[in-house]
Amino acid sequence: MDFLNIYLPISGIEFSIIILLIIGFCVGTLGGFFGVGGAWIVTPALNIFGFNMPFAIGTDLAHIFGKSIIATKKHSKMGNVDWRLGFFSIIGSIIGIELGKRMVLYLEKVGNVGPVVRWVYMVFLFGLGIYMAYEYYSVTKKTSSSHSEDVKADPPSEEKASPLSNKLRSFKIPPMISLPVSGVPGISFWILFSLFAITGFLSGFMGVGGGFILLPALIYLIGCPTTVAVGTSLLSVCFMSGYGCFTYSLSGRTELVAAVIMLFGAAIGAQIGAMATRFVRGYGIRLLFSIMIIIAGVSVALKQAHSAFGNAIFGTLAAYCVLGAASGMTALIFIKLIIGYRSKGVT
Amino acid sequence: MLVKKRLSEGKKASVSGALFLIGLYFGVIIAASLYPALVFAGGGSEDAGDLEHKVDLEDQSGINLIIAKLYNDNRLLFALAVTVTMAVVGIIIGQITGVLLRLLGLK
Repeated sequence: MDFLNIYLPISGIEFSIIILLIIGFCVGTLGGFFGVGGAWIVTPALNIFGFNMPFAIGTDLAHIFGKSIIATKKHSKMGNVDWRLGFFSIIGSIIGIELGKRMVLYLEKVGNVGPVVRWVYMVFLFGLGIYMAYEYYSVTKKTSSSHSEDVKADPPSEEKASPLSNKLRSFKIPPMISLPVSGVPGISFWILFSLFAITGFLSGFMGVGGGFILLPALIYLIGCPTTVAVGTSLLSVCFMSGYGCFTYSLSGRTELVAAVIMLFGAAIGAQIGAMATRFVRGYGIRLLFSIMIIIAGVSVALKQAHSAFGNAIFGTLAAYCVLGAASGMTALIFIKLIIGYRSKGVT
Repeated sequence: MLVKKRLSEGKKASVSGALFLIGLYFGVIIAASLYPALVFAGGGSEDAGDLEHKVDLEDQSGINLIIAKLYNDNRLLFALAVTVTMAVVGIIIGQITGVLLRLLGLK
């Protein structure tokens, strides 16, 4: 099966084309569906199969850049990208990321930055995941109690702006900006800017692309419909990963051949993921997203245990935990898409 | 009306839940920043390796040779080439897979 292996010139290793395609497909599907880059899936996956960590990150960012272009284009065609909001998110995020990076550098001086970031990461992932799952549960419960007993308890199909976003919109500090694509009649520029600076700060602090931070921020704080949040988040991921791709390549830590092969798998996955958003309602996407980030939180906890106890088994478990969740979720999204197409309805 | 009333009750709980989470989150950041000794585990970043690393060109051929030469000779050009290639390949592959999926009936 040597013909299925490819020699990667920069890192000087042989790697399986099939594995690259599968990783690309899985993360492409999840990216198209959730509006995330998926660095937290690809980096450990490449690392498990033989890339050293800096090459895994650089190659991952390069592939995410190409993939997010595809997914953003697809979502744009479906009317899911709020370009105006995306523009503000990019501007605010750049400043926030710089501040986050400075915080990390400060922590480096004060103590050990690695575990601090990991603890913050865990609190964020578990907190957000549990909150989103709880929200889904409470909305489903309320809806079912309002129906007669024999009616199936589905969450409401029409999403409403969260109370937090309504509160934020009520601050009328000029200049006011309207976001018609997101259904926001008016929101203060300063509120928008501050929000994106904070989400950017978190991205820079945790060293992630920011899609999984930006998505809930767009839903809960701006009040975007979930599908618009997915498309707009992808636009931001596209910009951030492009920048990351460039800087990592400048440091010589990108394997172009591997990134292009992964992109082939991701291209198909991203289209499938984006199409699947037509058949799963906003609250359904939120539930699946919450499950995914709780599992990611478990993976980070295992990594922390690996660092604390020095037992390699925790590190291996952490990586396989993410891989298992990613492949399982990809399969689920694919099934949802097939069912949706067969019934031509919405699940 | 009943649904609206219950949803509004739920919303109040959601606001306090979200505010609690945000507070907790920033609390952890501040606590961890002020008292790094509280964090029990070691970790740290991985070694980024030698930035002046050169690729051996002897066994390379074809596209690999072109990439490796570019990598050795001009890192800025290499970074630009990688970024532009990923963008262009992304757009091309996106178009092709879009057509293929349409042919398969997945419009």
